Amino acid sequence: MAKHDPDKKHPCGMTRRGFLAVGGAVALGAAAKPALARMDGDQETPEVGGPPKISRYRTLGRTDFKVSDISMGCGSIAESNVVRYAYDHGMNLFDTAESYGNGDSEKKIGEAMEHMQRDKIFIVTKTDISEDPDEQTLIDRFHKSLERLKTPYADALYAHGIADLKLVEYEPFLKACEKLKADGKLKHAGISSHGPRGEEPDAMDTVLIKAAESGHFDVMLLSYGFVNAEEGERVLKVCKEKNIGTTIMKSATGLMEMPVLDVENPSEMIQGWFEYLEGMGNTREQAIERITKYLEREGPRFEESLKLSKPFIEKHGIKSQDELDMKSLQWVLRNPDAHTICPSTPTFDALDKVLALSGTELSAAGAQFLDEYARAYEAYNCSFSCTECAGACPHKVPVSTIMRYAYYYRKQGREKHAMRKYARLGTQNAAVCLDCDAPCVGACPYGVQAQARLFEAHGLLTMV
Amino acid sequence: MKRVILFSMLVLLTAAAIPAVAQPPEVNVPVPTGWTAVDQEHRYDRDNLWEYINGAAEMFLTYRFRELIVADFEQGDGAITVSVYDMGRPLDAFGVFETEKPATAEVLEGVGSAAVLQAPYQGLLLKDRFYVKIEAGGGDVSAEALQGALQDVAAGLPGEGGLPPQLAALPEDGRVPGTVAYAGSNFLGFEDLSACLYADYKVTGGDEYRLFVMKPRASFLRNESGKWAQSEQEGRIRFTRTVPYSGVVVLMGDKERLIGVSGFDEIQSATELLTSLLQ
Repeated sequence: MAKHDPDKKHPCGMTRRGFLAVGGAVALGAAAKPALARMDGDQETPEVGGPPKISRYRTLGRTDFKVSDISMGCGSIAESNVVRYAYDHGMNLFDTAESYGNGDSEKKIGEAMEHMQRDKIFIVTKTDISEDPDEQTLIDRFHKSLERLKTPYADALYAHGIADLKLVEYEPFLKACEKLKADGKLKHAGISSHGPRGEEPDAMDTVLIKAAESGHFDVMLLSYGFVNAEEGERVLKVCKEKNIGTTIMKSATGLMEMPVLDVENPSEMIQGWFEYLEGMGNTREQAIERITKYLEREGPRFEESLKLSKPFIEKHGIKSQDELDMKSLQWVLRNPDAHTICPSTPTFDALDKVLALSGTELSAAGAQFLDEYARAYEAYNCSFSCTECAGACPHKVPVSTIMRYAYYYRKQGREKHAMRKYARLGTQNAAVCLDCDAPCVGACPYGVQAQARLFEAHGLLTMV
Repeated sequence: MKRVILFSMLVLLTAAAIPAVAQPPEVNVPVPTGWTAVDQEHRYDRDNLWEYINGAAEMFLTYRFRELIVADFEQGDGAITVSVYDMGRPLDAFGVFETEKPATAEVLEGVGSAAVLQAPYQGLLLKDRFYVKIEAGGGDVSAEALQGALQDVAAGLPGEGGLPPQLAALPEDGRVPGTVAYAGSNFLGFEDLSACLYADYKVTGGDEYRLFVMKPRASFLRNESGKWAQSEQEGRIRFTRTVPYSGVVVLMGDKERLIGVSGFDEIQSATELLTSLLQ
């Protein structure tokens, strides 16, 4: 806001910048306690600030850029000062896309640009090539990205979310990148992938390894965490051989919160349910009724699960979802071939949390916990992001598709939708598994017992 | 140990699910006049939105996004993709529309609740709880054709025109035109400022500030994050916090509604402004 002047002196006689610097020193010394700023004599306002800074930088492959080990995922940035704050605390790679907020994310970075030294940062943006755009269209769209970013050039332009091998060497994109590089508006071509989606069937590692070997890309963005370690590591290995810069996304785990209905003081999760239900036209009373019924129905399972999982959580000293998420990031940080990790950090507090992890190492206990968690996760859950087992089924049962429908049923509460989808598979469903001697056993590199999971899914999706 | 972990997984999976609810009637993408549908509609919800729009899903999920319905159409050499985002309620659709609306887009009067055109690539539409994006996907699609498609889709979607009534909660005096917006979460970069309706103000004498209204979550009122200074001011609750680079943010009100301001250097002057507004 225009009225505020960051160099203006506080009542205590210091400038804001000086004050923040001292606040930072205090906060580092005081560990988790927020620094306190005395503002108006009658009141202490907790100061945002005083967080640690980035303490480790790695070379981003052949770009030679020294990138902070943690960078900024800008998918939901709503405030440009958060970008500036990240920069001031040592983050120097900002990962955005033309589609994030329909350009709003790029705009927020652009608003912070005047506070950042351009040659000290690495701006990644991405463009969609799934609708077969021509070279000129891609160039025009890229120019709009530059306008929003308020920069004469971007450090990298990625082909966004590729899940189709045919698009890896999409000529209009490669030609557009060459043209933009020749014009001094782009430094590097890149590519990102999350794995198969919709009608695009190809696994993340297949896509990115082909991209790495093509020689067209200097940088890439991949999903890598302890739950899909092997797939990610296959990509990282090739990137290392080819000296390609790597940025990591989606490394965190799922939720770890027990839902308990307290109407007066609902937890964040229950509050989210209230908002969702009320947003769909339910009254507060109806929402309470629905949540109560849901918890009653699931209660026995919750109780049993909690009783059984409690010793495990206690053994590893896991106290919160945050802690689990932070350990997940640390797990990635220990791998030097993953040059930077870009978690979504749309708030000052989120930044403070991840900044504290820069340069840290996962403890032996933490690594053991995640390894056990990963094994359990892999053994029980098909991630339906790969197609490794596809060739093992003599009946051509679409394993990952059926697993996805089971996920719709269980996790999304879309029973009818999932069952309808499953019914559309016709005879190509998991019923054949009942009479099969299961050559698929052992086909999953992650240890998922496909036949058992398919039995289960078939029962779920047909009510058999 | 493995058994324990597996049960733990069940907790994680089940706890993440939102309880099943009665769904409103299914909405389909209206077919724009003169266009022919290609293939069937595709639907995405909160859990698989990323499959369609990658990381762009994050922003939608900070609102009450419920479902995305996508359909492709063709007309001669031209092709368009119509994406209808069911945002759950009009205020959330408004929030996304205002976020995604390019500053340079041409405003179309009389189309839905609001609409803009960014030729040659896209048109955006707001109607009731729906936010719609129409994108030219190939061939030559004129601005007129995009505008016509926007009009037809607006007419074909259920619900009322007009802007959400909640916008009236913001005072008009001193409000900078075109700055009213709605943030689903992370307002001002704070994770506990969610569902905030806001606008920028400039009053005679030069003061500039941002005013916002929110219904506080219970966790915020309890100050669970411990990051806010809480006090009572003339019988009202007051929360204050410093914003990096932007002075202070101050909120005042009661458990049902808080009104807040950012952009002031000092808590006292912000408090005076809020006190006068609340009176």
